[in-house]
Amino acid sequence: MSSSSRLGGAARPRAQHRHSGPSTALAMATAPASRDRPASRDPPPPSRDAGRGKMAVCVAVIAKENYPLYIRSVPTENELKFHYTVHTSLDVVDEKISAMGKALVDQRELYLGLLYPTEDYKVYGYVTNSKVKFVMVVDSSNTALRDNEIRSMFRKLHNSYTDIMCNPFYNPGDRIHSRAFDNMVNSMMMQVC
Amino acid sequence: MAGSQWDFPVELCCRPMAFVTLTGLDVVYNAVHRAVWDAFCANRRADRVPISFKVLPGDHEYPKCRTKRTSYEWYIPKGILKTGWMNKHLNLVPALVVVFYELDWDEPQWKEKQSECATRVEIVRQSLQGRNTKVAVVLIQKKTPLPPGEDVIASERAAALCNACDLSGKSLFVLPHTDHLVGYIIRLENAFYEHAQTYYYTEIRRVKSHKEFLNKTTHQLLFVRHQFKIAFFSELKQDTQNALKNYRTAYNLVHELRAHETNMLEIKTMAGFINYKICRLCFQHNTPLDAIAQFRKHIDLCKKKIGSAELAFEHAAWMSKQFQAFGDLFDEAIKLGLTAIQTQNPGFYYQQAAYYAQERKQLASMLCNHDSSVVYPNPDPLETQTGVLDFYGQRPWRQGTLSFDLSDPEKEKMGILSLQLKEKNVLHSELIITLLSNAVAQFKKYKCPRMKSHLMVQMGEEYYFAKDYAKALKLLDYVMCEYRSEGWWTLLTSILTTALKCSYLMAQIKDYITYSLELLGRASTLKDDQKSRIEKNLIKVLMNESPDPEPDCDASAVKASQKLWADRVSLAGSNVFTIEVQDFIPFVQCKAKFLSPSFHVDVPVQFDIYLRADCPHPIRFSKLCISLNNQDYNQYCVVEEAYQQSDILEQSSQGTMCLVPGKTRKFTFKFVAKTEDVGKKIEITSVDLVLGSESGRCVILNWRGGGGDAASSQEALQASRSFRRRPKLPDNEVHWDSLAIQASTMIISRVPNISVQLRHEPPALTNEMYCLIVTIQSHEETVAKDVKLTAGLKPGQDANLTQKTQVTLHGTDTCDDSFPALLPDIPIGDLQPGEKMEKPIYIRCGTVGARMFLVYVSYLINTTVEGKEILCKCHRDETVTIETVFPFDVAVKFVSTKLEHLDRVFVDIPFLLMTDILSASPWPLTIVTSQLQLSASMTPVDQLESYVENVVLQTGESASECFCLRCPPVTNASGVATGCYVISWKRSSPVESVPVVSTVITLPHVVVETIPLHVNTDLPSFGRVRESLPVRYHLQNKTNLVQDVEVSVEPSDAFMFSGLKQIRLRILPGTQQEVLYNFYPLMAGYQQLPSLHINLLRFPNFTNQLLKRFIPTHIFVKPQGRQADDNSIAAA
Repeated sequence: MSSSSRLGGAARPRAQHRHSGPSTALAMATAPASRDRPASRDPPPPSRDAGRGKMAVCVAVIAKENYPLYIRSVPTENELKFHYTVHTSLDVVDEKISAMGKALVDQRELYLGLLYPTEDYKVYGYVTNSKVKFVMVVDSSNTALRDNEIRSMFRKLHNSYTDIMCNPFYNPGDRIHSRAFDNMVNSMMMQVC
Repeated sequence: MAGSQWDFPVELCCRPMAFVTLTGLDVVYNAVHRAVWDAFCANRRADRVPISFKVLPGDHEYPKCRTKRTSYEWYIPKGILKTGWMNKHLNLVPALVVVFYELDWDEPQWKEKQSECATRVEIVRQSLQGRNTKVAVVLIQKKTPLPPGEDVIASERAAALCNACDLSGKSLFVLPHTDHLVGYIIRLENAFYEHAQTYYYTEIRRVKSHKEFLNKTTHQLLFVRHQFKIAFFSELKQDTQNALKNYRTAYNLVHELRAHETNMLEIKTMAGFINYKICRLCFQHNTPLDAIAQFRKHIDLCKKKIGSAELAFEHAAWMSKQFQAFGDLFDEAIKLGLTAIQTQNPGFYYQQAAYYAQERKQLASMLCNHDSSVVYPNPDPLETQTGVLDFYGQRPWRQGTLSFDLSDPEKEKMGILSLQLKEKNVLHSELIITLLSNAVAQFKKYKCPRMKSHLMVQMGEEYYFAKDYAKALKLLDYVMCEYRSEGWWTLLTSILTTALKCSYLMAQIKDYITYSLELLGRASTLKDDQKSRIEKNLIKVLMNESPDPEPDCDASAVKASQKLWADRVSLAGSNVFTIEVQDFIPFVQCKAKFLSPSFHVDVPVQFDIYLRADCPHPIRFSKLCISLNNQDYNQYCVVEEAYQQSDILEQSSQGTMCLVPGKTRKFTFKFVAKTEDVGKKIEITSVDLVLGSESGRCVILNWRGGGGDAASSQEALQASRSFRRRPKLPDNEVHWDSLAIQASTMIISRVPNISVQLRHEPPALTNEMYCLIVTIQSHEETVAKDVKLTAGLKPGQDANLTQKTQVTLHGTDTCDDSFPALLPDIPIGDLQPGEKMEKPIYIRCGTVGARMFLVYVSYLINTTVEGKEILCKCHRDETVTIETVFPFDVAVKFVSTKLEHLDRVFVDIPFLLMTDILSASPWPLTIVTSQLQLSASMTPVDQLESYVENVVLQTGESASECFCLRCPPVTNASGVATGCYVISWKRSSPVESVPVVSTVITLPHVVVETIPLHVNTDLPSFGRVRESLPVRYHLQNKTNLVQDVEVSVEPSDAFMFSGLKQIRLRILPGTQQEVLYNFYPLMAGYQQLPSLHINLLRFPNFTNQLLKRFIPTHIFVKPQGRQADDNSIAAA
């Protein structure tokens, strides 16, 4: 998240960052001018009730300059492997972003869909208007997760990220250290039983 | 190589083509036959029919055909597909055998030849007993045949020959050996192709006809085999659509087979073959998505079919091969025009193949780690009698066994052992690296730089496992910067760790140090204990000792490297390593900062070097030196401290040269700039930090410029965005993030201590000697020596201004154009403290407009800095903008003697020239004098003396003059130069005495016309009512002709008159006539005179109108004076 991208969304109320707490900021952000927040916050993510098995194995937030702001993977597996997976998926993200660069900002779809399938995992991508990327890795065998559910998971992620941005003590571009964000990601990565 | 057992057989991968053999051709000794054969096989382009030809002798033995089975009832197949079957139908059993025979239709010994030919055909038929192979005869003839139907003998003999050879007419061909050989050959091979297709069609029918005899229980294998054969024959027939359909059926049938550990390999082998064929055909049909879908299905179906657990590496090898083959097919299709995309390209398949190869390596290392005492079984269970397998995918030691129970467990064990021992010798890393590099090439093509880097890391790691450390290091070093520049520290750390191992194992000291530096740095994600270990090793290396081995290294390699390190230690030379750090992230950070962006030369230059270490333990360094762009200063920018080697890790932070982790350390440097560097930039070119000592090993960390490394620019950006408040620190400490690098400073001259004042009276007037008085006063405490003044037009303005501006020191004389616009370095001498001096400067501006003038005073002065005497050059400059304006405007006009405006003048007739000088100067002007300089074509009527001499004009005032002139006759009527008007003037109150300025005004040209007659009137200035008013008209003839003139007077209401009312005169050339009238005014006021009409008979064009100009028309008539009134006034 850089200053330039924030300038891009000039319509957004600058006051967001000055609010004392995330909760107030969240209430503020329902205004249509809030660009960095997904347009629709419903339907509520069904994944919470849909069973513990169908969850992500890795969630990452990548800065505009493509360095990681946050990466978390299931502890049972090789963390390094997921770092590589997320990093290589940025090739596709970059390509998709440059392809849609010409599209109008308002009509732009933030959800990038399936980036590329590997033998074992599916990698999904999402990019905010400020070019912050979310990448989610899902087990290939996990057929229960449909596109819609992935979408709503990303939306949840985006909302949580926006809350972090609203925190006046958070400096955009710094690595994310937030308990609320951790908890939210944990809820998405509930271990396969 | 053992790995090749997984490669697909050549006959599977080739494109099947109809097989046709040619007999009766002697291609070695017979030139004609050679030419025929060449025409068949040379230059087979894509537009030729797909046939593979082979020349065989006429008596060649073809593979024997087994007797046809009449019933399958008791037949139990031993495997799915025989290994020789495909090759047999591609290269051994022809679809058509062609018998070439030289025979012309008009052959004299026809009968003998005919029977010989029939014999040859018979021999071929014998050899093909039981097969459906077609036979055809080609007669090579010397003569060009006649068109069909015209040659009666030919058709007769052809029928006879067919009869004798038992051939249908369609199987007999004639090949005339003439010029058009290739054309005939192409027609021939098309005919052969038709025969071949018929053959394969019947073969397909034959195989299909077996189907009804089969049953599902015992003949399961045959279903697959037959289906495969039908598909393969369809391919030979070039019917790819049906081939694909049949392969698909075969594929489904393979997976319906009862699978068991013993036949799993056979099933997978066949499934792989059929899948390969399907994918290949799909790509050929340009349906790549079908190919991909089939391949995915294939992988999904087979992924879990591992087979024998002891031979699990075989499954991985097989999987790897599947992916690799698909990648090859995909790549081939792309070469033929298919477009791949970023997310679907062959690279993914090569990558997956590489992963399975890695898995194979892992499994092999687990399953094949037999003790060296285990010997390869004898007799070799993998040997077969023929040297090859009978069926694809079977075990050599139990070929054709269908039972799932193992009849001989001991034999099975031996077989597995021999396979495992063979696998042990496979160079897995080589396979993996080849596959990875294939994938790298693909990803490079499809814009996946990160994927490419990732694969290169894996290649590097594989080289590391293969103990090719040099190559591993090369690859890792190459990709490292990608991860560094994108800030993926976890990945960078992992790569660095491997690179460190490589450099340790090769004992590459410089690399070892470089990687250690970065692994200790802030970008490293290693745990502190690891960092601590690395730092200790680094210090050992600096102390000329061997470091401890890196963890998880191969024991034998460690042993070898320890020896290398020991050798390195004993070598004395080349112990200084310079490491440029700006391209990576070392554990010491450096920032250089000049205290100010500029320093006066009489003030010492100061800068700070900030250092900070990120390693876990404090570290000492031996020297810090800074290089500046002027190397003379470098001697002042060194900190050095001798210390014992053992002190290097001393825990105390007392020493000046000790960096404590997390603490920022500041070093201040100070030096006096040289006076010749005034106006120059002083830049820090590099900062060198020396670790270790010359006696042990010495590492120089070299920062280019004022510090900073690969990560610091991003950090600086983040820090600048941050609005977090930083906790207060003690005075002598600073926040590292808040420090900004300032690597250069300017040396500027000493602040001058003199005043320069300018006194003048703007604006300047054009061409005057404008006086600018410069007052210089010294406020220095010592003598200002060698004071010089530079004054004049400031350079860099419009070039025309330079031409039109002159500057001089002498105001008494007017300067001309040769004077310069800028007077440089006017020596003034020395100025004592407090002394004041004035210097007038005269400026002449030739054009109006604004000009910038520069007054620059420089001098030398002695001063002391830091106890050092220096001679400073100081200067002060002033600029002033001076506007130049015209001093006055001059208006000139021509008027007649009646003061009427004239747009032309008449020859010899006097007129008036009026000049009007209007002052535009804000200062009073004195017109010293004025002078009218007439041109030759003008003559004055009276004296031309100036009327405005010594007149003073205030702003807006004007002075006018009037001159009476006459114009003698001229030839050029269009315009005559009048002359010039010269005004000599000066300011009324000049600052100094200045010369008079002469401004020359060129007078306008005037049009001169001649007239034939001029009328001159004598008229009193006024009349009085009822008093006689005599008027005399002088009519002058201006021509060389005698003129007849008619004069008439029209009466006016206001006058009575006496005189000639109408008269006709004759005037001689150059003379004049007078006409006298007496007017008697009747009314007072401004009255119209009785008008005089003059008619020139010789000049009908000459109108009265023109003359009216000379003849007065009105006169003022005063009322009649009253005597009484005069008296009363007198009385009063």
